[in-house]
Amino acid sequence: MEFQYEYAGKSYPVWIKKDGDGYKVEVEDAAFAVTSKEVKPGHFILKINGNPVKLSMVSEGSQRHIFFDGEVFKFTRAEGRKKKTGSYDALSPEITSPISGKIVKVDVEEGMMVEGGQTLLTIEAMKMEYQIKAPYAGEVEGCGFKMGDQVETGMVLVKMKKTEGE
Amino acid sequence: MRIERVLVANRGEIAVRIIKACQEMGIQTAAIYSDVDEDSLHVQVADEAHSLGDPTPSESYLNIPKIIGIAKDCDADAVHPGYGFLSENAEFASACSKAGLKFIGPSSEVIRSMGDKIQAKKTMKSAGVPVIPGFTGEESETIEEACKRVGFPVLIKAAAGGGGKGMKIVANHDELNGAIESARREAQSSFGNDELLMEKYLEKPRHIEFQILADEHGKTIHLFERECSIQRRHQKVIEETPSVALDDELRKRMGLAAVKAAETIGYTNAGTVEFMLDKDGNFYFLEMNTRLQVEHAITEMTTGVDIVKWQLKIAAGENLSLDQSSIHRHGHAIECRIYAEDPEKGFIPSTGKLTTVDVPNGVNIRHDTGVKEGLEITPYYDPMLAKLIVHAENRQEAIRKMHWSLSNYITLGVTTNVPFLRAIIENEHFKDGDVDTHFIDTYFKDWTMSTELPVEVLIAAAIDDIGKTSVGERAEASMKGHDVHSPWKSAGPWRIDH
Repeated sequence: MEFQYEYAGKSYPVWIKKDGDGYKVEVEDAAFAVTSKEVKPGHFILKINGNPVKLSMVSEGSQRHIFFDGEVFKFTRAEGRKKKTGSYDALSPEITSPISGKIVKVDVEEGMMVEGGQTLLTIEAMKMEYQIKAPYAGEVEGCGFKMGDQVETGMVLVKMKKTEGE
Repeated sequence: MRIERVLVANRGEIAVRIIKACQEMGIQTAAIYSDVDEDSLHVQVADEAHSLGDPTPSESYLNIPKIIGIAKDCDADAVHPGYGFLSENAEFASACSKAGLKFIGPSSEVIRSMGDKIQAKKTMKSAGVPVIPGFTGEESETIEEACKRVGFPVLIKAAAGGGGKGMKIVANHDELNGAIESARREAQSSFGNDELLMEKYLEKPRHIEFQILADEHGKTIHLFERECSIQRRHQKVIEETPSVALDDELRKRMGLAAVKAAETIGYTNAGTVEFMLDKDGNFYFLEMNTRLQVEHAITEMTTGVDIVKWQLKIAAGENLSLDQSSIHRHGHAIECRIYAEDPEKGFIPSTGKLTTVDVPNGVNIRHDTGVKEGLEITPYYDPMLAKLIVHAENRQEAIRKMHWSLSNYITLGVTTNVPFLRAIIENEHFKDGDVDTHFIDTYFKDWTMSTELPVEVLIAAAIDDIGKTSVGERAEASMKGHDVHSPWKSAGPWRIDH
């Protein structure tokens, strides 16, 4: 499966599949064999190519907070909602808001074709900006908000129709 | 008098610290809390807790009649104000006395005399304690003559000032007239008053303070210095003791001056005399904090003296049994203030739910906190969450211990300054002790965290997400009411490494 994460304006696609007792993970062109052990809720020791690494994490909606090596990385998963089993086929056409905040920029309009990962709109919350990106390539069927609108977590921001054959 | 029940008129880590000291001494404690603090640690550790209602500071922790009323109702005989809030409020100290409550701190007269910063400097100057030389408008000389007397560089500022308006640093005599004219214009247009003040401009000043203990029978001692030069927006961030800037001779002179300052005003209880120290080793009285300081813990670590217990004993009328000659320091202590704020965004306070708190433990590591996992951080009060204090045999070891402690200090859910603190601790100038009050502005003006996500973090996120996906809706149904901070708790089939 592929997951996509957004941090500091950059996109990070990660490929992962189960492999025996662990996982095979690919980030950019590097491949890793990984096992994971939860030492207590939210705290893990991963073995990445045999090297132990300690991390702690919480996630809420599409937001991820991960503590690693003395720093806390706050980033988002590109999809606005939980995915069902399997692949992108099951992805919802509704892009929901991961946070409560104010819409400061709308980049799309009805009928527009967008690429996967393209920014749809930007939300500001507690003086931080969050970009909402298209989880897949497709056509924008509608966006019910405009600049300055207040949105709550879970509200449908954009409806999309996925391009077939992806 | 005997103190049997103390009302702690504060919140957060300092309320917890005071409550613990009282309990060790067999003194009952009563906490107060506003609506948003109902689940706070200080409420839980106190023997009893009383509601203040409305969380607005003026309606809660700053509401004198409300607090005095609670203290009377719960039969307290003394009130500890902590720091901040009402701790340096002379009205509060006097209201306590009038209500028959012992205020744990100096008298309201002393608080008032040090609260007026200009008056405080005059008092200290006449007592022979050095103050920053300058021009206050009372001298029988012109600003120009005063500049010659104190020597350049000087700082010209508006008498009615504030916010940097009308403030000029003047490096030499040639720049003086132009600067005075321009400062007068700015002062006139900003404040409608073109009166100017001048003081000697200190280059690379350090903030050095001395801890004072004074009983009510005329005995005053100091517990040595703390260096608090690492500041952002004039608020301290990292403190340490001893200061690398002091040798024994200077330390002795400053200690004597601090004791003299306290004695001059008839100071009682714990207090702190703050000095500015210039790069040539000249020190000047800045102000006196007539209360317990946030950073008192580093003094406790190095001297072994429990300052809060002494505050209680002194308030109960006990003699200060410690002699100056019996106060010795061991090793080096550093404190880092853990703030809920975003150093990448101009230190704006952050709020939210502290979903994860996992704090390092170890030899000579002290963690004074007012928060715990699951607590909501609200925007009502100061963003300081906790203090991390380490003690080691020398400065280098203390820096290493602090570095390790910060690297293992896990808080999730609310943005904190922990990575920023670690970056300071790692800074070569800090390691060399080459610090002054402009340190953060000089070296950390546009500091940011890593702008790249480490591959380890990406892998962890992907494992989390594949786990959630494979658990699917079956797990989702059983996850109702599930705590957001532990998605892995119900992670299911992928947790095959167990």
